Amino acid sequence: MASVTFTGTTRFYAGNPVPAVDGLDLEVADGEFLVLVGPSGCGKSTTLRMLAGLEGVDDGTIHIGDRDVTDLPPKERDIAMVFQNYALYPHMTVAENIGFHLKIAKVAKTDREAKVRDAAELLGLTDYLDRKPAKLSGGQRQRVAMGRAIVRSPQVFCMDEPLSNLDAKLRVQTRTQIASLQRRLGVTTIYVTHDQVEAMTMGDRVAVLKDGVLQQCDTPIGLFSKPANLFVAGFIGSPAMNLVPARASGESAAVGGVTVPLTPAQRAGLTGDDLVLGVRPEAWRVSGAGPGLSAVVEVVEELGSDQYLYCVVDGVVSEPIAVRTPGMSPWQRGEKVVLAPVAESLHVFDKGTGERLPD
Amino acid sequence: MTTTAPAGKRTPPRKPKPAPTARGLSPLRALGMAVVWLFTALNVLVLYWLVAAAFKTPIEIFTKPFALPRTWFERGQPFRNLLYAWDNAGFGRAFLITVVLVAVASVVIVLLAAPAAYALTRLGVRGSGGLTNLFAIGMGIPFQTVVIPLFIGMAEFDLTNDLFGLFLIYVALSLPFTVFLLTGFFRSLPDELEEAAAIDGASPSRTFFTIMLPLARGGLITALILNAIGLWNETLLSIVFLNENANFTLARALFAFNSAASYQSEYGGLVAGVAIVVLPMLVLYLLLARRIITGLTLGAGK
Repeated sequence: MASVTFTGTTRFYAGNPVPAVDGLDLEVADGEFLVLVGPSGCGKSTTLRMLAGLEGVDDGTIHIGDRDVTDLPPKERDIAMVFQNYALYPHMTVAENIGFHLKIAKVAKTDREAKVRDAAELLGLTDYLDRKPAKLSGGQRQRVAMGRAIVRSPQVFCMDEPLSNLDAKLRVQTRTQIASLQRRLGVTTIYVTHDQVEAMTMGDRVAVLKDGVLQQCDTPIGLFSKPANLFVAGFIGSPAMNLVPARASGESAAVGGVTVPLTPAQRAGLTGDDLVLGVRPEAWRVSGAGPGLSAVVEVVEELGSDQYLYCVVDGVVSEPIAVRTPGMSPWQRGEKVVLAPVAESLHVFDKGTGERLPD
Repeated sequence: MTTTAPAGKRTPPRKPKPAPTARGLSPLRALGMAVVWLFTALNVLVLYWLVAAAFKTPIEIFTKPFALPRTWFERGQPFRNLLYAWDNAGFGRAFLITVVLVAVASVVIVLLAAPAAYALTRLGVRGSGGLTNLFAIGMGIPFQTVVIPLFIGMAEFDLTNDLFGLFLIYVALSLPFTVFLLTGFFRSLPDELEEAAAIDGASPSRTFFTIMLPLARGGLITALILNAIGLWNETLLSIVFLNENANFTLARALFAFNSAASYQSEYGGLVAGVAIVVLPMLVLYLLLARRIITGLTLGAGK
């Protein structure tokens, strides 16, 4: 087991002057579960593939433990990878798939069989060891791919969107299985996903990437409660945080007749008069009348346990504002409401730089 | 909603209803169907004529070309023509030579072409794109245009009138097509499998033999069959390069038999000789048609 350290790691693709991953500095502790998350094309898969040795590193280094693996071929890195479409060898049985590395590593046959059996038992695959991948369900294939990684007891697990081919229900189940399995095995894991729910629920820490640049790396709670910039604020959380433009005047900021106080630190950090207030859907107080933003309810989404209102506020924001209210609330489509942000849960960003202003 | 309908009561349609787009016969489609069926009918007719004539006397062949054979059946020796051709054309030995030559050449061609195609598509070798194009260009050269230079070249090495020389020529001339066919096949295999093998610690050669080759089995078999059919029917090169009875291939033997049989007006025997050459490949094709067609259209769609 080992830590993983990216230092200024950069990757260019042929014919593109913009790097796919740009000077990534990231340290993953021994035994940690780190999730790389971001929209498509943000460089998360490239980062993982560089760690696995499937992709060259144009600048910077990658260390696994104390070992510089930047220029080592994959087989000398002692890592295991779970691919998005599993990449099971279709002509081999489940047992052969799981044991392929051990066979290449010339592990004795009895030893090999015992290890394959242990891995299969751990994943509930014992009954399927003699089957070919084509005869397995999606979930079983996914587990075989996991088994192939586990059986090696590697230094690092690399997982590239391993759940994206499963249906929604199975994905939620497998999510918790993988997370608990990782905690049990204690193997350092780098997990790539575009799904922020997976990121928030599985990772010890989550690294958010955009356009090849690391935006923020923090615990799920840290990301949620203190997003470092507008991108992270909009990316983490579902529905997304509402971003409302406002103007600073004196010791407070004003938006559509609502004023919110600014701390001295926030005022000092401002580069101009324009700022953006971030309000999570659950941080609005909805009422029929009173001080606040006048809005009209455009859509009501009833989930039973929660209810989401999408409200149009003319002249303040172009997008409808998402508001979370308790399930079965009486709000109706077309109803006029007043929205007031809860001052303690406000996030304040500088509009010019997009960065979070200190509290 | 009724969920209690007794099982077995429902009678499924004999033929599931086609998608709306596939229904209806547009004029173009009708014309196309007509052409295809006409072409098929013509070929079946030729085949029928060939098989029927192989059992006829010359008089029957010329007077009643499309009637069923009678005379030889009435005389109680229905296979007379086939036996005559087999005995007089030296088909026995030629058959053996052809089977061995075609089998060995086809296998060698695939053995050489498969690693080449793998390297061209999979190893990311510098200049592999240009090299692949070179193979494609090689496919575009009609071998008839290079027969004479080939003959002179082979004569230099004393390899004319020699089965090994013919074998070399067959292998060399078949490589471009086979490499090209197999590059399409290897290209269609997913990248992840190689990457998974690399992470599992397999060397490139091990990846080729234990992962990629088994997966490309369908393509290899297709290449094998196509080469076998092509070489079996190959006539021109065998006529040019073989001029001694002892080493004739079937097609070459048939050519020699043609001259001899025409002099004796032995047309029944001649047609029987053609049937002996053609029918084995027809049977092979009928057995393996599905595999050949998937092989040829591979890479056409994703």
